[in-house]
Amino acid sequence: MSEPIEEPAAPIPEPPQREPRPQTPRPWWSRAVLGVAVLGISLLAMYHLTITFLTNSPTNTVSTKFATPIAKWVYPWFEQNWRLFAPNPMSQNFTIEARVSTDCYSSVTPWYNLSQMDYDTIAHNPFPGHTEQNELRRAWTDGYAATHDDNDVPTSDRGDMMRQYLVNIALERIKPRSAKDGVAPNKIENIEFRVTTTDIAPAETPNQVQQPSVHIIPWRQVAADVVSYGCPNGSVAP
Amino acid sequence: MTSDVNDTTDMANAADTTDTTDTTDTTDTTDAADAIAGADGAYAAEGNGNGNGNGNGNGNGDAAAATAAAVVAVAMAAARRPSARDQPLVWLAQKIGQSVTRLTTHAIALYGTAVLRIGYGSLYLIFLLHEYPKHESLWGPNAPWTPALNQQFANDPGLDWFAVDRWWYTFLGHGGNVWFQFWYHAAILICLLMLLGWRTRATSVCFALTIMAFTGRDVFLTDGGDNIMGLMAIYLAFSRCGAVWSLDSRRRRRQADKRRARGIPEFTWPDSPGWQAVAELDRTREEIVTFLHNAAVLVIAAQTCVVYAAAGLYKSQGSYWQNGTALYYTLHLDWFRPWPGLSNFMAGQSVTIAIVAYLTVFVQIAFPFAVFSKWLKYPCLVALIGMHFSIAVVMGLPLFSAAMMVGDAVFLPEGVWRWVGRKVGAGVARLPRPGLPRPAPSTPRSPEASVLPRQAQPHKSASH
Repeated sequence: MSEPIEEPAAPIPEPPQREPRPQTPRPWWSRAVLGVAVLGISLLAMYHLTITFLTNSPTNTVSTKFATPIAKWVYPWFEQNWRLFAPNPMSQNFTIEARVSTDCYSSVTPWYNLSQMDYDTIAHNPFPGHTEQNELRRAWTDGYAATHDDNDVPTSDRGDMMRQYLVNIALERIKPRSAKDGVAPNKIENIEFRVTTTDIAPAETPNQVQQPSVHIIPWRQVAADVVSYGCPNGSVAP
Repeated sequence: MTSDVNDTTDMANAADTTDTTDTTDTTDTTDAADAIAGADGAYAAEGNGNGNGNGNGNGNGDAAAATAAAVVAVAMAAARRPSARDQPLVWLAQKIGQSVTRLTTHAIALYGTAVLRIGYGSLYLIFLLHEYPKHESLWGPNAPWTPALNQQFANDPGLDWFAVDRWWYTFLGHGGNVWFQFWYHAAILICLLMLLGWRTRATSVCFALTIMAFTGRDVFLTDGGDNIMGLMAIYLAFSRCGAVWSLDSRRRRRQADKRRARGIPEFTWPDSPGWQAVAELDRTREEIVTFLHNAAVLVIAAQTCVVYAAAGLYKSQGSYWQNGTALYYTLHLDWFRPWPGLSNFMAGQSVTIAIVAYLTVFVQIAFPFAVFSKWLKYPCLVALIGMHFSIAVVMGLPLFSAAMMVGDAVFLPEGVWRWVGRKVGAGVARLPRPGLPRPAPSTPRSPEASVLPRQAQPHKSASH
């Protein structure tokens, strides 16, 4: 042992498993408990994976037939949607503006460009937050636009909730700014939205100018959340 | 030598529920789990040999003898193993028994799940700290999505939730601002504890509940990143994600060191039947927990595959992905253009983005199949990580991309993570630690070389 032994390469250590116990014959109940547990866990995992598959697959005869058990299992904890930019990515850009007025439109603010506030925050920002990227975007595309028809009539039970959400987002952004435009935050009575949708120029003709379409959500009373047409004194919405 | 051989075979047989034969081949266990977790068969076999040797009280014995014993055991087992052709049912039962034994005694992907724990813990921590200036207007009692709206949404009869789900989903909206502030800061603490792995089982359950509470407070604020982190946090609560690289493992190691220093054996079989039953129960619990962990790893891996397959298959149906212009439109979306110049430049490279679009769809669809082949798995992982990295930079979605990248970690082999752990450990050991006593300085060879007298020169110190 006098000559130096070349150090062998250090063996890669096994991940630390719990120390093994001395083995003895297992009593019947131990086997039974282990067997039941293994079976139960396996079935649970398989059930979950099956449901996960069915909730992600296109609607088919199986997922239609078992719609209730699938919904019971999936909502809300295992809800998932991986259709980001699929089947087709969105091909429109939005300019979402809003303006507010006092009672009877005695004072009306100019339009506030809510979406541009998002875009300005995102520009040259390596780490934008959920406020800029998800709040207004999803409130409009997944919220209001998905639950209302072209005449602003709700098409689903969630329509009212989504409109309220959009209004709240707008008010939160407008309130710090409206006082200098003549409407103090506590005087805001009505709100109007103007949403300009512009198609992204087709990839074949990237420089082609697209005609934007303008959609106006008419004046609504903020507190009562009803359409506001006019006033007893005869003043009408601008 | 003979006793060693017997021990080795008994060891593998002990938990074998089939009980059809005495011979069990420990080293040749088929495990689909390894393919998923990416652990290499060589490590597993090596681990079996070592584990058995140590477990039988040969811990400090001759390692060569143990290896030789294992080799003999393999040879004997191979000679007596019934072939699939002669006795298919016996063979099948034996294979299933071996798999169950292996899955109840060997936790797969311990490092992989630890990476997921550290990754998601730190990502959600970064998320909560990053949103801190705006957290009240995102989830607070006066947020645009008011508690009343959330309550109404959670009571939507179409959703068919349990009452406890609904209650937790609107949890952050209950109570006033003080309550909300308390829970926001508690959530930050929970993320920190998750990342450090302190009392990991309880903490991981709290972590999953935390993410679901924030998701449920306003589901319209979430994106794919929140979605995958919530799902993975739930799965991690079933795994032994705190077994390595955690405060828990450090505590266990120190306790074991202390026991060893006092000469207390790792485990002694109790004398009385009552305590033997308790020890047996504990072993059964241990095995169930290990099996649960392995099932959780399987679900995590399968979930990642489902994410990619669903994303890829849905894309393949889109006309823009088919004609290769999808990225052109994506790059023009105002909400995802932090660097307009870069986005415009990339949108102009029509051939390149068409190739990248096709590659994305191919890799995403191929992923669930590629994980079973190491020739395909690693190129796919590299492509996906590259894709997510570019999404992070170009589209300004760093959290979403990082969450997806962390999910891929479970597919890397354990050897890679152990290598990373060694490198990081060596790097950390080299760092200067001001709080700890420095190693004693070597004796200076000359008064000039000594650094000590400088401290004893008050006329040169800064305070004079």
